[in-house]
Amino acid sequence: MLKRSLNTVASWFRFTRKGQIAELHRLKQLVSQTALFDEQWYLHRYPDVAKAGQDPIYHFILHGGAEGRNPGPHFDARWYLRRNVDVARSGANPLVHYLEHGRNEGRSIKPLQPGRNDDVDLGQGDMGKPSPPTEVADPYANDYDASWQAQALGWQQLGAQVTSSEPLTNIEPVLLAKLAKGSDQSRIKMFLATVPGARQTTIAKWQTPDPVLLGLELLVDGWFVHARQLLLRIDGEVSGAHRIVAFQSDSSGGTCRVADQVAASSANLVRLSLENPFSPVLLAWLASDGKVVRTALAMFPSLYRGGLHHAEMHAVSLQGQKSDAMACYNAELAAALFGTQPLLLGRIKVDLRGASGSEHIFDPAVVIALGMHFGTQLLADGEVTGSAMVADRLGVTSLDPALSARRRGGAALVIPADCLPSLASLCGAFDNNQVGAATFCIVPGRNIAEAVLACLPFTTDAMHELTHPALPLPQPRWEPGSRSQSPAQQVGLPSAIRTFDEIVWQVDALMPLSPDLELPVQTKQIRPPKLQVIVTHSGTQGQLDLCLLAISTQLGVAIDGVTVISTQSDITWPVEVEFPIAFRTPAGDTETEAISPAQDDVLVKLDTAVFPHDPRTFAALANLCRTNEIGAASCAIGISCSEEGVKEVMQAPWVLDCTFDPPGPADEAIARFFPAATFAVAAVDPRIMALRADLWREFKTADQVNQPADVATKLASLCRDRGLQTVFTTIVRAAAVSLDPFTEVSPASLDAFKAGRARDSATYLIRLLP
Amino acid sequence: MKIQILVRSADWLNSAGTRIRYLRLKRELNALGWKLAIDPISSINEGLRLNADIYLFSKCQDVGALMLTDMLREAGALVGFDLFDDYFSGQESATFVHRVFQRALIGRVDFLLCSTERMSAIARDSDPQVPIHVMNDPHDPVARTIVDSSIGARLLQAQESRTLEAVWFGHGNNPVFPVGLHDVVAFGAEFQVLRQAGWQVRLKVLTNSDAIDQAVLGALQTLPAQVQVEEWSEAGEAISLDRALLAFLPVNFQNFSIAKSLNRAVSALARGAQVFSPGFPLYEALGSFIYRSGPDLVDDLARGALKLNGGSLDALAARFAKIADPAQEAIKLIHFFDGLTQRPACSVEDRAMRGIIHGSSSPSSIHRLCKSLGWLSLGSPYSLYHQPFHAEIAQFEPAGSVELRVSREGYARLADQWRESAQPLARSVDGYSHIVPLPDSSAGRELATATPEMWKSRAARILTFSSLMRATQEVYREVFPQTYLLVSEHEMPLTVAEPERENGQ
Repeated sequence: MLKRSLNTVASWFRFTRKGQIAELHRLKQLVSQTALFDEQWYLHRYPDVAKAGQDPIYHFILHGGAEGRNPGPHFDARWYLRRNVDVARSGANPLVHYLEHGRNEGRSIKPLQPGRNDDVDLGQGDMGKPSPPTEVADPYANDYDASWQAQALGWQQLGAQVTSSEPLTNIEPVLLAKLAKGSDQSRIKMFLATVPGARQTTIAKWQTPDPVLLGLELLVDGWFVHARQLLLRIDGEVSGAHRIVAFQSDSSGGTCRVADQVAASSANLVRLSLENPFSPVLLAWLASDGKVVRTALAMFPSLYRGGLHHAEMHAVSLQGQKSDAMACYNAELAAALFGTQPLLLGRIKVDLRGASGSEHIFDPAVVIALGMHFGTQLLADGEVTGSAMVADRLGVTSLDPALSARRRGGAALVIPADCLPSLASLCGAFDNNQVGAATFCIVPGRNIAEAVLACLPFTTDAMHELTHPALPLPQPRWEPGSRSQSPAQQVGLPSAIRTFDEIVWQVDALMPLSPDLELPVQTKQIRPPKLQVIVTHSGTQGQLDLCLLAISTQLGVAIDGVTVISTQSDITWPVEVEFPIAFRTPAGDTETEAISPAQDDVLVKLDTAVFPHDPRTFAALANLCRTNEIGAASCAIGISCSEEGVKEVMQAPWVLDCTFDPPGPADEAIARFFPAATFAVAAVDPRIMALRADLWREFKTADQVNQPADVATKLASLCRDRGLQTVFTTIVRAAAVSLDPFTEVSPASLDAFKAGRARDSATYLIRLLP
Repeated sequence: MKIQILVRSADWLNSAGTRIRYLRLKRELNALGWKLAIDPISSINEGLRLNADIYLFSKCQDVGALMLTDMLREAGALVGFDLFDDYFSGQESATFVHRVFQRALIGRVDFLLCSTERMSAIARDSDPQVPIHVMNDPHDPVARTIVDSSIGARLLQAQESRTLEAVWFGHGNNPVFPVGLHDVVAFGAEFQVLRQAGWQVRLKVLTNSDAIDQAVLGALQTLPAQVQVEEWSEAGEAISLDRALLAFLPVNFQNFSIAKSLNRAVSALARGAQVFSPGFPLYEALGSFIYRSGPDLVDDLARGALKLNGGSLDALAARFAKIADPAQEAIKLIHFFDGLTQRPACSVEDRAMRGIIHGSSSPSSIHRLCKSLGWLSLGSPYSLYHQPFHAEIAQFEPAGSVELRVSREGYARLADQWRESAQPLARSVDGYSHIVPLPDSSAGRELATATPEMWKSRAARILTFSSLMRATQEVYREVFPQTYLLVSEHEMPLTVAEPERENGQ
């Protein structure tokens, strides 16, 4: 021991500055708190360290990390440095980097394939025999895990837990009753009042949303280790507390003890085994004589990280900018749910299109919890795919009578099967709710760090019909109840939380609609739409050839003529097409003079940078424009490059974000969140758009021909002036063969958007998590 | 009589599907005087003799299999396909390429095999005329004594340790449907009931390695169970089922999932594992041996009496005999084959010349099959990788026009007038010896004016494939007369209408 200390001190002398020694202490503190550093393992693995008598942690910090030695069996230091070149370059110790930054950034700490860890060089000298390749790999979810684990302020082992001699399903009315007689009884009574069947007695204090009521200032963080296990981090020590217990109501209407552990001084994590993901959790700190010292009431545990409503919490935090957003939101929701006012949500209809039965909404615990703790019923709606049995999984469950009564006449929330209703929807009062009718969270199942808050307002029934026939409903929507009212605003708190599955949502970036299908466009018109097509060309002859070929393959439309506008005079086009082709140069001529479409025609404007490879594209766009409320339409563009390794992606046209900033091209990563349907947007894509011919005649600005971004802006403004929508659809795609970015929007156009009414109907997306 | 099963690849010989479905039948068929051979389709390249009476294609879903089907039927054999999975029902799903193949089978085969009645109904919808036989996956013999003793031991161990050893095994991913490990995650919440009753669950997941990625592992870690993942192997599955108390086999409600066979549950029960299957009741035929809900399992664990126990083994054997007995399945299969009508073989002189045109995504195995069987292997403007084709229509020179070039072997098979007009190349390039002028027809002109923009990007291929490939077919038909041509293309949604078949379909 002395020798080890001396050797360690010798290493310290390399740290000549006082600040560096302090830093070394800090790093030791940090590393010693993580299970990723295994002191005994390290000494066994690197006998030279043991032989030299060095403190393993200090050795690792000072030397081992840089040498690629692993701190423990679960962290591959050399792999981490190889994979994260920036870390290697910085010279940072890999484990320290991971603890301070990497885990929050979602960086992996070892490869995922079983056995690979043993390929790592074990270090210098006589390292002993490498362990044989293992056939077993523990599921290592580090990138997922990192997103949900505690912030980097220390990683502490859980305190010793009291081994409960009683199973957790025991009902504890006697204990709770005893607790209720002691201090903090009001909070305990509030908890008891939330138990299903007990709500005839409401607590007056619920009427005002006061976060102090809940005592959540003690709970600084929480995350779900798995679907039913919640870890809560406590802020510091609770004086006088010997034991921490937690309670939650169960499906039988009783209460269960879901945690019971010693409140050790170094332990500030409480592990709860929840009965269900939704109902309130009461934590009580007990003194050694069993008296209550403190309590805290987590009304909606699903708001914590990893919980089913965490994305909603994040959306609320973004909007509110409050430091105690969790406590405030819990209080607001509780006041609404456990108050006396009629509730907004009457019932929930689940559209079963595309449902597999494995979505969260079919989880029996969720179905029961929604009935018992929120008093709301799940009904099947829409087409059932696969089996009628999937509707049965929504089940018939008993409803809390008090809550159910307050929901009578409320609005119906129609959700796709991969959605859950938000807490805002479940708890919101009929009057003065902040629910956004068209707003919902999208949480990717495969990378939850990319959660998005979306507002995709449906504006017409026709657009609602323009959905993929087999995929889930594109978004939740509200139907008025007998009180004839739905959420008043489009943008607000999310209506629902949606789990995005890439396999289900967008199966083909270029052709999401099966080639076996005719376009599911609802139209009462018998004759196919007549089109005039304007093609703006500034590219190669090959691009023009493709574009004209694509036009000639379009189905379901009658093309009266095509006008090619280009500064190039030597272009040619095939003679074997069924429509006349005219050529124009932009100078000295306006498009409006060149084209005089008949009253009921649609005009399609196209840039040869894109081409409609799907033969149903023009019909989709034209039929949209023949819908009463739509003035102009465009479709998403898929990028299809010939270079190896370039992925096909989808570009969406301009959207506003939830901060109402001016429109820009939707980030390609976000564009994939648009399901296959049709949406209102701030402006159509100038590279491919269809518009009503009567609008085109009003469009008389030749100088905008060369500024396509402003074309879209002016057109959008024109549409809004006439009470028309500009929309885009992802049911069909056009293709671009290069990754050229959008044209930037001019300042004048930005100002026009800010001043305009785009926010009333356009699509909004914002990325929630960094 | 000899049955030749041709499977997709050598890997498939070792797959659970082959082992369960065919190898278990082999001995029974042999006992009835029938021979059963199972070989990968590539073994034809290595000289496999095609001398069977009946051919069954299994997991072969390409033009090579279709052309072989035509050829073998022409020679008088009975040919059919074994349909495992429902990729066909629903016109709107993303399984377009499977539906295209399914349509290609219509009127082309003598029979179809399916593993479930549901699959049979789906196949019937597609082709009402074709004879279909439902062949249940046969079970392995149940080692009664071993299973009987281990069932009790497993329960005892679980009771002592309050730990339930569970296993999930199978193919973990699918490019089109969220199944496999997705179901494990989705239905894994069922373990919570067991945890609440004081049981710890240790779940071993045996699956294909490419199904294991960061997202799936993260999701598995959210289960209320201690999860361990291993790469699947036959031995690993057997050992795990011999030791586990539970086989966890959730089933979701998609068409694809509910058309599956019973074989996983049968395998589990045959090795003494209880089956816990929440979700769709796929294993209904196994009736009282299946746990459908956590509470039922908890109750039986509390009573110490599980559904599969020493006393119920006789009932299990009886149930297997009804639905999965190898001897019975063999008899029924033979009876089915005996009822099929065989076409007379064509004379050798009347048999068609054959050729396959390769598109942008055509497996190289198809090219090798062509060479082995004397079919023409033909390149198109879409062919991504050059093979030593007999002929190719492509842009051979940068900025050059599209040309038709042939190899010496291809030259020898040209029609007389085209052989005369072929010009020898100054030097053999890429194995081609001659250049043949494109015909002066609309097809020839279309090819002559084609540019690389038409096939370089996928979007352009989607746009031009149908017409340009049709032109390619017409040109090849003209220069290689009396040759039946098919197009090999796996890139969705590139398709071209199939030419009229030899039987007029």
